[in-house]
Amino acid sequence: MEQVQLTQEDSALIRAIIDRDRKVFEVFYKKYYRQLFAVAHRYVGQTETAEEIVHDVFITIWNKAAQLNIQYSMKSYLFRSVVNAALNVVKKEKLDAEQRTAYLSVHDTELGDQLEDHKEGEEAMLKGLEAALEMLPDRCRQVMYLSRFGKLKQKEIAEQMNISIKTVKNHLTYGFQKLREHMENNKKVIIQLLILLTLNAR
Amino acid sequence: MEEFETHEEMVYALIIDDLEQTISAADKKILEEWRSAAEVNEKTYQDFVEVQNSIDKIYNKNGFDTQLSWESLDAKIADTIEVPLELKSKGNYKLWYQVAAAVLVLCSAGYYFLTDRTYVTVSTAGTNSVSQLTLPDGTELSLNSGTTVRYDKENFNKERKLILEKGEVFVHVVLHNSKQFSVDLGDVQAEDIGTSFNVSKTEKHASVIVEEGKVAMKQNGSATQVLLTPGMVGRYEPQTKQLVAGSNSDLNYKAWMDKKFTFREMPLDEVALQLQKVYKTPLIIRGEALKLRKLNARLHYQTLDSVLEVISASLQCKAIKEQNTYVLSVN
Repeated sequence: MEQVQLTQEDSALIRAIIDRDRKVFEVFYKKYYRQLFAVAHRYVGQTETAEEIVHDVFITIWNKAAQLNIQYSMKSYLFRSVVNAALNVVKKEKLDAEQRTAYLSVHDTELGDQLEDHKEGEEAMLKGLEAALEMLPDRCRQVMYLSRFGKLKQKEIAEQMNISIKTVKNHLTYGFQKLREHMENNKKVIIQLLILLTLNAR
Repeated sequence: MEEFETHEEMVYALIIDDLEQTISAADKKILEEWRSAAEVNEKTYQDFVEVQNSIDKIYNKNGFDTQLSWESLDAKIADTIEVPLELKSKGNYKLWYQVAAAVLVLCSAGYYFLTDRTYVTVSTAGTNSVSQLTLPDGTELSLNSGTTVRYDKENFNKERKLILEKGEVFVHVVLHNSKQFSVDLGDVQAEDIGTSFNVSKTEKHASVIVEEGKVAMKQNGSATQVLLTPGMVGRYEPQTKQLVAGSNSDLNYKAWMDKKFTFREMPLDEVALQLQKVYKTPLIIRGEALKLRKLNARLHYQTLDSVLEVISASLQCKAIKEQNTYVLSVN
């Protein structure tokens, strides 16, 4: 496998991990945890699973630092591993969910009643936006996640996904536009509702 | 500014660069001119800002505690560091793995409800995941696969009785003013006194392990009863009609539900038996020496992949997946 020369920083980090330097590992973990967690969480939607995905990637690094196949940089390796692991979980859960949904739709209506309807204000807006994010085409969504939740630069995303910076830009502009349209429509609905309520109040 | 109208995409890209604060000075100037050229342009810019701010809110919404998360990872790393010594091989368990694997494969997914007057019967058959059920009084049940329970839906709050026909249930009882909660196990009853406990029933025995609080296990039609406290197990054998209590040595009795395992000096072949029961996936160990190697670990993972990742790293062996079977072998 073709391997790019690692930066001094990454090489030093790997040496420290091989030497079992927990302090360095801790700093390294804390530096990326939040973004990695956010990306994983976006895909799997569950805090525990997202945390586990991130932990597994770091456990592999801790145990196998010497044998890692790092193509560009440690950072890019981290995000690549987290995205792949998250996608695997989603794939597996989709199957489970299909089974569950089949069961629920046939046998249980009570559960539906328990789902409370608490859609109000900003909470509802963010929920809608999350749904709109999920509806973006796969590649575009991944770029958006890496950019907005992983806080990766466009160049880093391009390396990560093996696409050109131009393509990254296209995905980002497409994603932003779609979300913007979504928010615009959302506002219209709210205004219509308000008008309706005002009219009814009279 | 007309040229920009035909280059909408380019302007959007500039806005995104600007939001990321990676925009060049020259581009920034172009963008600013565009923004001030028309009101609608400025509105577009503000829309992008709003999208960005909203996504940031989503980013911040989920609770993150980097320190706590690190501590939890730190503990996991500590668990994987102990590498036990190899032991000499003894015995042959291979056949049993094959039998267990075959049985697991035969279990197919299924889940159904039957209503018999006011009685509700819930069965879980070979489902991969643990099923949750809340009883009318709020008591929470986790049902293992292959479990059947029954209760009277309409009169539940008066009786508070759950009938366990077969399988395994973890019960978390809620405080209630009416009658004591009980589980009917056929010849014996488990009566709760405000607790969580694990109940299982097969043809050969019924057992109760207490996690919290107290449970009385009573034999029907006789005065025999045992009082169980945390860390104790009560066991009844229908054939001999004997009810006994003892201390529970099975650390992983509720791993089927919470996927938390603690292994202390446990030979890998026994570890594998426990894991395949919980994750419902066949797991084979190649190599007699490897089967007898001992594992010390605390594992808490949703997937078997993660568990095997840790085990293979700590015992320096290899985990692969062959069709639907996991295989652990020497490197």
